[in-house]
Amino acid sequence: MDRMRGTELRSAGAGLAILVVLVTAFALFEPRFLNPINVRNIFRIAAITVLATYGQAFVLLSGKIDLSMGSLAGFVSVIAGMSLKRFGIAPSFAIALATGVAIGVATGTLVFLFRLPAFIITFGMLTSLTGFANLLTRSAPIELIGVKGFDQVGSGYIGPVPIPVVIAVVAFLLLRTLLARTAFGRTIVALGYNERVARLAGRKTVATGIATYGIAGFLVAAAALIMSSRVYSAQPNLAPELPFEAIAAAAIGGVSLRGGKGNLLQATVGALIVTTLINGLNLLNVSTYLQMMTRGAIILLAVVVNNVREIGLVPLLDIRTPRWTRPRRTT
Amino acid sequence: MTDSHLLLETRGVSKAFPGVVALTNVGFSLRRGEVHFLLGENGAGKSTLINIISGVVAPDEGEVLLEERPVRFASPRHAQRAGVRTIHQEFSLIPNLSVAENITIERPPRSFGPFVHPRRTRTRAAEILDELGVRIDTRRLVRDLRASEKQIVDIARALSEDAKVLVMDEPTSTLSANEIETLFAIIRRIKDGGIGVIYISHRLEELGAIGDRVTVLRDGTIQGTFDIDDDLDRATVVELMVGKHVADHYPKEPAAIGDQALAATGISRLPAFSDVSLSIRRGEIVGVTGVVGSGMEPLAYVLAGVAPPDSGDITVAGAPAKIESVAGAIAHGIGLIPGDRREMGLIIDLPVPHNITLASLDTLGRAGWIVPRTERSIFRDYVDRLSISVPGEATPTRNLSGGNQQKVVIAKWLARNVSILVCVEPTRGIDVGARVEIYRIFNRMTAEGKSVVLVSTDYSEVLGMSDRIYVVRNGRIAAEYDGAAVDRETVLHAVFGSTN
Repeated sequence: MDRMRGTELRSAGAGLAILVVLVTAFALFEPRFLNPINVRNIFRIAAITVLATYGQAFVLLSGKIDLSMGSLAGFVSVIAGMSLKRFGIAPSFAIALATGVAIGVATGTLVFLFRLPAFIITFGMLTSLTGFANLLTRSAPIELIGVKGFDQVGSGYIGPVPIPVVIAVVAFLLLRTLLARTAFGRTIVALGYNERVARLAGRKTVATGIATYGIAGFLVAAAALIMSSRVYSAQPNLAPELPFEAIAAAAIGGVSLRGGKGNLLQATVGALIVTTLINGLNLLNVSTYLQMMTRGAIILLAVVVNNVREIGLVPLLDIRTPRWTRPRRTT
Repeated sequence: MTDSHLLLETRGVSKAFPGVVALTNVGFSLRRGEVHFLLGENGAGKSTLINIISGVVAPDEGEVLLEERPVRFASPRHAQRAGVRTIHQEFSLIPNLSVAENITIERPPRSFGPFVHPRRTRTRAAEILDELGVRIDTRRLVRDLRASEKQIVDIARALSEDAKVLVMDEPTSTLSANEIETLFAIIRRIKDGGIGVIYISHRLEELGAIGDRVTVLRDGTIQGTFDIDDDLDRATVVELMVGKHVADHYPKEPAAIGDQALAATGISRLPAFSDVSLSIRRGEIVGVTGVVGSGMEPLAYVLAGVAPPDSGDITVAGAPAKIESVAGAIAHGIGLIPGDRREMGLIIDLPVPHNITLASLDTLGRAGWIVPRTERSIFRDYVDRLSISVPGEATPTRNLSGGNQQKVVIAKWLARNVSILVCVEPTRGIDVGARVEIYRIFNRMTAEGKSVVLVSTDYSEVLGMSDRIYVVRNGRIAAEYDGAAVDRETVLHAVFGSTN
């Protein structure tokens, strides 16, 4: 167990350093940044990003990608809102989470069983789920102010700790164990590194890949419930930026976009970086467009830096070398 | 050297890759209008020599002369411009373009500016095909062609520019008998035009049909160059190609032979092999050998459940077994050491323990849990038993030597406790010391009543280690021998189909 923690910490070292620099810089330029209310706010929002990033990290580890998270969150929010109007909180949550899993499994089936490109499939899911969610509500939010206790999920506390943070911590512990301590988790990683080797060793690669998307769906549904609770309403366009934030967070934290490599501590640190950055830029009154530019640039930078760390700069420069003589990626 | 027919020559060419010498002091020559066979086992240096001639790699020492002038090709494109053309097994054609467009792709006839002249494209392509004596509709898309037609288009493309040397890498490996005849007719026309053809093949019977001279390579050196005529002793050529190996490299220890472990009756998987029957008993090492492309490798994959057979029956321990997936084969106690260690056998980026337990993850704890202590003890156990040299638990498998990597693959299946191990080229690219250790592991397995299917093109290895030997030729079992009683010549004759 100690050994595992050691390698995990080292792997997240670069991300932690970036986080420290970011926090120090914002603290110097903007006194409100370290205000306890703002800090608690950052953690509460970060918890949402963390859940989505875990989902994205699982999918990335299996060697695929999920662009549909934002519209899935919107769709789940609408489903939750509609059922909260009729049933109690517990049944509605069950329905919402099951919806997330079911759609994740459907996506995973298309990607892993029918071997279709994840990029296109999840892109298609993004469009159709957004359409479906808007159709169900005629594009209007469903007010949920009257639903007793629902606001607790996003805004409540257990002791001094916000409930979303509690959920994120529990998710971290469970998923980390699942990844490192079960045959299922090992298979996800093997699948991401080299699907053929995993299959030739008798691993159930298709079922595992489908389940990975199912887990991502569950996590996105949980994030969607928290977000809906915070705004007291179900919204079809709840979080269109979610998949991109999650991919950025995973990449910045050090999860490989080539599959196999990465862990949940890296994903956590990445999500904290993204949330801190957005929060700090907001406090500094940086315009939305400049923020978009900054975030985009950071995603690109993170991916390039990661790629160089994984395979070196050579393949980027040496485009003339025949494929079979190019250096293989090194660790 | 005043041979006016001399087209291409290499003088004292050597090439080393990290850890291996690929070619040593190679002097090879090609005349105008000849078909020159290049023979050698895997790893003999054929590909390296071809890569040097066609500009893919530069020699460390020595020089290449084209028409008696020294040349240094910086890239395959330079070699192509100088007239050295290579036809690979995987054709370099663009599927969604027409035959005419593919043939003229290097210098398409223009109408004006960047615009291609469609009619002249077709007439130019038709001219070239006509010179080859074949008729293919130049408007058809390449993706709609049969493999043999694609090959002809690829050849026509190579000849569309001023070709002098044509390198053909196993051109008949996917062709039927009729198609081979057509190809040979084309080759005869090409050589009549003064082009020199370097022809790589594993099929000795093609020597007499089309070849003028033959050069044999082994371990990176030329063993000899011979005129192909009635005086040529095929057995000598084969012996030069495979070499004589010292017997004590093969520490075979006979084990008690038990009941039938695995049997196949009339299994087929087209087009690779058909109507194959074989049986493997407990305690046996069964060698399966043949030339590359004989169908023995697909046969191994079918036995291990990678692909289901089209027809035929498989029984495991006497009971009918449906082996249609790798997981199914494993459930029947069959494991596979695939031919490509780094791409199929190991996840080279993962640490050694993760690779060792990959096939037995479900046995490391209850209900799919992994107990770290169990995993660590399995890792230590196999590192010990197979003397795998590994710096530490966290070392990525890629950092191990080839021999140690292969031991990790074997450990993966021993940890799964399989009773039948199907091994494809298990000692390819492994040094002698590690090879012997791997043979000893096979011995230990058979002593425990397990079985090994040794699928290999290393004929010495098959002869040295097998209790029984099956020879596969052209997708069928050509012969079966008692491994202890058969002599080398007999097996090689069966493998190459050569008779004197």
